[in-house]
Amino acid sequence: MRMHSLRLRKILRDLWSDKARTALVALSIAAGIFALSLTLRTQAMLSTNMLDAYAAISPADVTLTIDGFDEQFVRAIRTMPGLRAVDGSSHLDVRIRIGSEWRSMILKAVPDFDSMQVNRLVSVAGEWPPPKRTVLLERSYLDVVGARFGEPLLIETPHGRQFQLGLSGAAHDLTAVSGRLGSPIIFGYISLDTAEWLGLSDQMNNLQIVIGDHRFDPAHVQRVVDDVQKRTEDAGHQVLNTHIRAPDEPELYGIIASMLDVLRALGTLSLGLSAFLVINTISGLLVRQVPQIGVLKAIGAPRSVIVLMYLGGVLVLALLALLAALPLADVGARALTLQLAGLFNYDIQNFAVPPYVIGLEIVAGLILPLVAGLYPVLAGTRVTVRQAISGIRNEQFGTSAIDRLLGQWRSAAITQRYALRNMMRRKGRLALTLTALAIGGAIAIAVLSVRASLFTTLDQAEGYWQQDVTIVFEQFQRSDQIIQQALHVPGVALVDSQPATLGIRQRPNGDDAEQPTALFGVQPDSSLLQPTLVAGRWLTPQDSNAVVVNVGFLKREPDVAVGDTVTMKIDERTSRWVVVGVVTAQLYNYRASAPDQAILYANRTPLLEAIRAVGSTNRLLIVTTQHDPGFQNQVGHALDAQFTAAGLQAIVQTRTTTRERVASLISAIVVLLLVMVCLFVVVAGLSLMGAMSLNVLDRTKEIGVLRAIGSSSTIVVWIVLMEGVYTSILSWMLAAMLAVPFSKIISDNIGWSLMNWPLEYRFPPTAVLSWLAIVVVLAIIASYLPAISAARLSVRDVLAHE
Amino acid sequence: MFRWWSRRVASSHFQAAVPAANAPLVELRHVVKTYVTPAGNVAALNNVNFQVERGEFVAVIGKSGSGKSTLINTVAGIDRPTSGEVLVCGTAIHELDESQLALWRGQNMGVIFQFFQLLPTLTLLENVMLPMELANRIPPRERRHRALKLLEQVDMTEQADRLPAAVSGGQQQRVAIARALANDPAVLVADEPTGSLDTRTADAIFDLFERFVAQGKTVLMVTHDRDLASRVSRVVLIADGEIADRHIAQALPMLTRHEMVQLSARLEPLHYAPGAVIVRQGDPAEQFYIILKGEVDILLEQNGGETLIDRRISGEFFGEMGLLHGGQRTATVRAASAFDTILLVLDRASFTTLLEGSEPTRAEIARAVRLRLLNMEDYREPGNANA
Repeated sequence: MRMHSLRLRKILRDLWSDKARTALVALSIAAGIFALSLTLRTQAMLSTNMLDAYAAISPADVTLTIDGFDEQFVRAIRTMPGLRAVDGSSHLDVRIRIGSEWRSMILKAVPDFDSMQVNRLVSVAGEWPPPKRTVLLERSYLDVVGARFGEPLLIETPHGRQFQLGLSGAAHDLTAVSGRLGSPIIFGYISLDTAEWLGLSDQMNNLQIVIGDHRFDPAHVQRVVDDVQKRTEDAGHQVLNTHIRAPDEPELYGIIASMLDVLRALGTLSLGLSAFLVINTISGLLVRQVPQIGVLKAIGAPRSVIVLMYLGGVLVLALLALLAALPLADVGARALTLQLAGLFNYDIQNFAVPPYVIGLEIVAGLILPLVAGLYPVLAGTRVTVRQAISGIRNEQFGTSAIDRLLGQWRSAAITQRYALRNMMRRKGRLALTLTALAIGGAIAIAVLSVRASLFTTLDQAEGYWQQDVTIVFEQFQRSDQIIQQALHVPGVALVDSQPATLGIRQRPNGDDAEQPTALFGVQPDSSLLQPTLVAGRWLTPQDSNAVVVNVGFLKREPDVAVGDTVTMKIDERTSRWVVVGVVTAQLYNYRASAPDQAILYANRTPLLEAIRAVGSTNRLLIVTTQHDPGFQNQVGHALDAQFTAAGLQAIVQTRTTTRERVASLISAIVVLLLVMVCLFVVVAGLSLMGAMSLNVLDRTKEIGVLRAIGSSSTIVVWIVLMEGVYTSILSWMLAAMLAVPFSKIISDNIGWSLMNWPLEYRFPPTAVLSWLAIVVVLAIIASYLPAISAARLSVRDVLAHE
Repeated sequence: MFRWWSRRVASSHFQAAVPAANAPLVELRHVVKTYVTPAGNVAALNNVNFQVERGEFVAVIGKSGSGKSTLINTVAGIDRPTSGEVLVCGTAIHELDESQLALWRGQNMGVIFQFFQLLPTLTLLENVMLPMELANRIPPRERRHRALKLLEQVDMTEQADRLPAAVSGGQQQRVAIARALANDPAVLVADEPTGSLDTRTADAIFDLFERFVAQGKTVLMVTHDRDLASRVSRVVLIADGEIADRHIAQALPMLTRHEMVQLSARLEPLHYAPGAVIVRQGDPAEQFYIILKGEVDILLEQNGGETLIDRRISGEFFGEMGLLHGGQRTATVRAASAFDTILLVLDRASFTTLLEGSEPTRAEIARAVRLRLLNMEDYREPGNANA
């Protein structure tokens, strides 16, 4: 026991006697644990809170759009077996006036706000339930609408009648797309009385169902849905659409989960990099301990005892690191979770960290440093007593080909040659430092590349849709009339009609697809649509029943290939189309609900024939005479005014506002990735600082000699800084090479999770050059302290070193 | 950029200083150097006054811990005096900060270490060129040529492009000397430059120093090797932080400069605690002593007791009577001061050589013996046998 306490005392005193280096090792481990813990905790807190909150609203597993039903019908459905809960409501498409523009709005009319069993709303502020002639807004749209409680909101119904609805409060609806994600549609909630007052039907059109047992069994769910559909049709109603959701999975959860997985992978990688740092620093520390190891062996300590002693030291450092990292990681994770939750319109009720996360952190935080420390400890304690006492150092320069190559470089100043060759002296240490720096750099470049890829993909979406303004009408209108009206608006250069509708694919087995597909009627030679073909060909004017599908459609209907015939059900009429080509997906689509929307493109006339709407359209694509955002908005407002005056309901979207909305989502993703880049920068900086301080320590005597032969403090600082900068430049070259596959992998993953298709990959030279600038600055910062400490050494002290 | 910057730094400080025509090249005035250690303050130099003239080859000798390395480190600006003044080549280097000192050193002083201390990642040629780059006094295009010439002088031209690890210790030290001469400094300081070399190599290195002194350089060297020390123009014996020269000169004023060098190289400092017996009356006489620090009592043992017949102080000698008359000690000598007494000791053979080589000194010592014998007779009690 006494022996143990003596050894422990020695280790603790060793650590205490070199506080700066102890702090550096602890900080290295702490940085890795922080990164892992931050991502683990964020993932755990966010997913737990999101899933709990979502489960708490009793989300619908199945939503049926039905032509119109009453409360009695809902009660009848509730009696069916296999259903846990059933609610009915009415979803009404209206327009809301915000400032000078009309925006789309979905008003959800609820029969009884207090007894909702499915997709429950939660009152956030104001009155509950909303009194007649008032509306509740989804809370994430309060800022978008910019009205205060009690103020009137101007609403226009599909019949063109305008009403003022008082804003009576705010509700939280987890089934609505978050307003903070830039959704173009605004969500509001009214009573059925208000709906009736608005002149809308007092009938409901939306039936939400929670399945009872076996809700995770798709076959069972389908059987239940079939029963409900049959019962509905038996009751004389028509099912217009059936949407089956993955049980208990919130809106966009797949995207969030993918992003969190990427974050966790980066956090784990960051911890791995900090392990390199531990290896380096422990190796360096053990070099200083070699004489003591020799003495310990000489006085009878077996190697196993010495190994355990030093591993004990590593354990102490790991404990210190854990104590430092976990509270910080918790604070960081809470902040990050709050930010992400806010973005997706969730509240964080519970910051508790699951025990498995704490266990994982402790295991990783203690085990990884021990494993990383094992190699240097084993290597360091392998030294024989004779070697230890004689002070033989395993540092050689001049034996390798690289050394000889560097030896040939004679054009630079000798101090520069010295700095460069110094870098190569401890090749093992250099290799680990370069690995940490290069991987960190590669991730940083990759993130910048992903950012560029996202925005390029966004630009491509802009290129895909060439119009400056898109007008979507509530109803189909005579196309020649509305085109003429549009052409009368000053600033309009070109108008094209591109009708769109929704359809459901009827699969070969007779089943309907779960989700609708958007069908666009296009002119094949129109300059306003420039898709990128993946397979097959684009439409020709001669095509009568040909369609081109996007990859989003193929993702949902994987059995479809070029040459196949697909049957589409549009407004209860079926039509058959031959698939002639496949085009890429886009980050945004006009009139599509999400980036991964399935889309079919057909020639305009055959599509209009299929939906019995020849000579009409519900969408106009406008090209303006000037293309700057201000002009687009100006023309957009003029078009809006023109059609409103003509009594037509239309939503006007300019290219700029659409892009801004998507760009805000992209920025959120990039910010998240940049958080991780910051962590990598910290780990990389620590790695370099550790290596440089060890190098300075190793060369203390040489620094004294330099001073003795006339080198000023400034030159000593410069030599150390140059060595750091050379190391960083070498790491940058490696990082640039590694970044190519890294960025491709991350870019593809994000593309697949966002839109079922890889992003338009970009590897911008500016990203590589930016990292060069960052890593050089980092090298100067990381080397500055070791350099200053080197310059502060007095010649006598360093010559007396060892 | 770095070249421009380093040129700017180097040129912004010192040009080669020029001492007054008749001033010593190196001068230490009342220099005290005290190290503060956990065990207490340790005085390494104790009010040292010391001068080196241009062209001198000075060997500093002394025991380990005597202060000899501190002395030359102080001259090189590597050690900073606790008090006192250090003037080298006309510059009061005790007033300079570390960085100014480094630049000054690069331009005015060549430093040579025991373990060579060549930078291992630079070739031998680059090692020699480095101080030129740091001082920036020699134009860049001339540096390589000058470095090669210096390597030629130390017979290392053929190995110029090798790394230090590829040559022997002696060869490394040759290159270190060439490096020290890179900026043509007036003074070379060397701390035991032959300390880690075999005798033959050490001899060759010493030859180099002699050659450079002959060319006009001033060399200040710490050495343990008394044979080599006897080859220099001046030996500075340092003991307990004090320079012994003036005490030796005081004890034996008739010595010529050369004889002084020969003697200094043979003297060994010894410490005696207060009250310790240094020689015992009747014991065989083998050594001659000069008192460097403290006092000794000369005691005549007679009739079972001791009679104090004389007290001698620093700058005086004793032990000559036994060596010159009968080979036995004629009296007991005891350390008398409250602190350690430090003596410089010369063995019988060296003492004999000294007297054979210096007639005035032999005459001076013979006169002193006569006087001391007379004094002894005054104290001798009746019936006591003559020692």
